[in-house]
Amino acid sequence: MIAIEKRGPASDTEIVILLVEDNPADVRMMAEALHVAEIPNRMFVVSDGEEALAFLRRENAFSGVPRPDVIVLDLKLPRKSGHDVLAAVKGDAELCAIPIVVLTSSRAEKDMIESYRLNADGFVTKPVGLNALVTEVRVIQNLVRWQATWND
Amino acid sequence: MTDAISSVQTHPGGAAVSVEQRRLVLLERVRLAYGHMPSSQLVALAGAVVLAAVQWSVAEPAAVIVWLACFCAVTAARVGDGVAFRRARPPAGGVSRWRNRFLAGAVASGAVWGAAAAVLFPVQSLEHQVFLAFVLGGMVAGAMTTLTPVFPAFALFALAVLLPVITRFLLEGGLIHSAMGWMLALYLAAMIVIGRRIHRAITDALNLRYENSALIAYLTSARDHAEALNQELRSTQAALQKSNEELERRVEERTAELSRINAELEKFAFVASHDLQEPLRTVANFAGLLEARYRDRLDEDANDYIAFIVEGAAHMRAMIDGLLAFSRAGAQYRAFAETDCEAVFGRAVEGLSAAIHESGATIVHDPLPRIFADSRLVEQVFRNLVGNAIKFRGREPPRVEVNVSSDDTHWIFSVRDNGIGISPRHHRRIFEIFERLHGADKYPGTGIGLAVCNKIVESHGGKVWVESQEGQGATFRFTIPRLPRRGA
Repeated sequence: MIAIEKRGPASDTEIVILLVEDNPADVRMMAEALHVAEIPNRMFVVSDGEEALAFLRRENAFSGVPRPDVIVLDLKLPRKSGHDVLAAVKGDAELCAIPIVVLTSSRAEKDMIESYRLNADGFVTKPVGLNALVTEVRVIQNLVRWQATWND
Repeated sequence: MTDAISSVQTHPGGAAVSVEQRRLVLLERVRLAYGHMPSSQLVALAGAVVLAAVQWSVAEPAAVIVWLACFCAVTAARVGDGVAFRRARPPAGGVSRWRNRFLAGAVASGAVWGAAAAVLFPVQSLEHQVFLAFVLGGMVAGAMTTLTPVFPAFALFALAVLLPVITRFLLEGGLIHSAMGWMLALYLAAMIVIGRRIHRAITDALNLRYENSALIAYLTSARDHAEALNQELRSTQAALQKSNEELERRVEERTAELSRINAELEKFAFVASHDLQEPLRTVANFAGLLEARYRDRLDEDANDYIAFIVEGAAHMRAMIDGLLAFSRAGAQYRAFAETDCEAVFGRAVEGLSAAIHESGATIVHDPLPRIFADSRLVEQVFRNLVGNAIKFRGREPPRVEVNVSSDDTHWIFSVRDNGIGISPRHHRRIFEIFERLHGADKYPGTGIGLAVCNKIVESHGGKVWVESQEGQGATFRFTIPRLPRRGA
C-alpha cells in the first residue's frame, strides 16, 4: 500500500480520499490538483482492486485505516476491474454509503452507462491539463459536502 | 443414309425418289418375285403335265415329251435359280443381276408355254384348242400374282405365252377361231394393263414403306442426336452450376476473410489510438505543469524546449484523436437508421459555434432531407466540411452554402465556400489520411478530416469529391444512396 498523505491545514473539513489508481503519473496529478485547489485532504492510494476492498474492509495490513469520505476509482486496474470494485462496494451494506467517483481515461459511453448502472455517484473522464483536473476535483469536493449533509 | 435423308419425297407418285431407295425397292421386288418359288413353279409344272396328258391323244407323242422335257428343264433351272438367290442374299447394290436372271427365267418359261401353241395345238379338236387356250390364259392369270413385281417379266411372259396361240387361232379362220383369237388378244391386253397397275401398286407400297422407314430412321437418328445434345447440355449445365457454386463459395470465403481482416484492422486502429492516449496524456499533463510552474525559474532555451514538448504532445493527441475517429468511421461501427439531416446539421454547426463566431461566418442551407444513414457519422461529415470551409477562408468572412439534390438512387449534398480554394492537382490527395496542403502554422489541423469524410461516405456506399480552383472557393460534394447498401 502506498499512502500519500498530504496534510493540509488541520481542520475538520479535511476529507479522506481513497484513490484507486495504478498509474503513478495520474496519482501525482491528483495530488497536484488537490494542492492547487487548496482542498485539505488525507489521500490514501491503492493500486489494484483487491487492495481497495481490503482497505475498505480494514483487513490484514489495513487494520486501523480510517473510513474514506470518497473513493476515486479508476476502471482499468489489474487483478480486479474497477467495475467489480464498484459493484462490491455498492453491494456491501456498510460500504455503500461512501460516494464513489469513477475517474477513468476511457471515453466509451458503455463504460459510463455501466458505472451508473452499478450506482456510481459520479463519472469523470480524465482530462488533459492541470486546470481541467482542478475543476473536476472541486466537483468531487462538492459531492462529498453534499453527501455529508445528506448523511446528517 | 444421308442420301436418303437429303432427298426423301413423301408423295407416292414415285416421281423423284433417290437412287438408294430405287435400289432397295428393286431388291424387295426381286425378293417378292423369287419368293413365290418353288411353289409357283410346281403349280405350273402340274399344269403343264395336265396339259400334256390331255393333249397327248391329239398331238405328236414325241413332241409332247420333248415339250414336257423342255418345260421340266426350264422349271428346274428356275427353281435352282431361286435357291441360289436365297442362298446368295445379295445386297441392294448387286440385285440387278438377279433381276435379269429372273427376267430371263420368266421369258424362258413364257417361251416354252408359247411353244405349246405350236406343238400342242391339235388342228382337228376344237375342245383341245380351247383347253389349251384355257390353260395358257390361266398361266397368265397366275403369273399376274407372281411376276408383276418385275413387270417386264410379266409382260414378256404374257406376250410369249399368248401371242403364238392368238396367231394360230386367227390363222385358222372361222367364226369361233376368230372369236377365240380376238378374245384372247383382248384378254392379253387387259392382263398387261392390269398387271401394270398391280406392278405400280406394289412399287408404290414398297416406296411408301421405304420412305416411311427412311423417315423413321431419320427421325430416330434426329431424336438420338437431340437426346445426345440434351445430355451434353445437361452435363454442361451441371458443370456450370458446380463451378458457379464453387465461385460463390470462394467469393463468400474471400468476403468473409476480407471482412475479418477489415474488422481486425479497424479494431487495431481503435485499440492503438485508444491505448496511445493514456501515456500521451501524461506527457501533456506534466509538460503543462512544467511550463506553468517553472517558466520563471528556467532559461530561454529550457522554456523553448518545454514549448516544443507541449506543442508536440498536443499535435500527437490531435492526430490520435483523428485516427480514432477514422477507425470509428469504418463499417464495424456503423449503425444505420432514419436520420433527420436538419437535426444532424444543426448539431454539427452547434459544435462549430466558436469558430463561426470568431470568423463571422454565414451559413445557409437548403431544407435537408431524412435519409437512411448513421447519424453520428453524417454529423461528422458535415462538421468536417463546414469546419474546413470556415477554416480555409480568404480575406472575407466565410460564407458557407449547403445544397441538396437527388436522383433515382442517391442523395447529393454539396458544401460550397468562398475560401482559398484548392488547385485541381491536389483534388485527389486531400482525401488521403494525414495529407495537408498548408503548414501547421498557417492553418491548423492534422489532415484527417477529409480522410474521415471519405471513409464515412464510402462506407455508406457513396462518393465524395471536390470541385475547385485556387483562389475561387471550393465545392465539396458527396452522395449517399437512398437505399442502404447491401452487405458490406
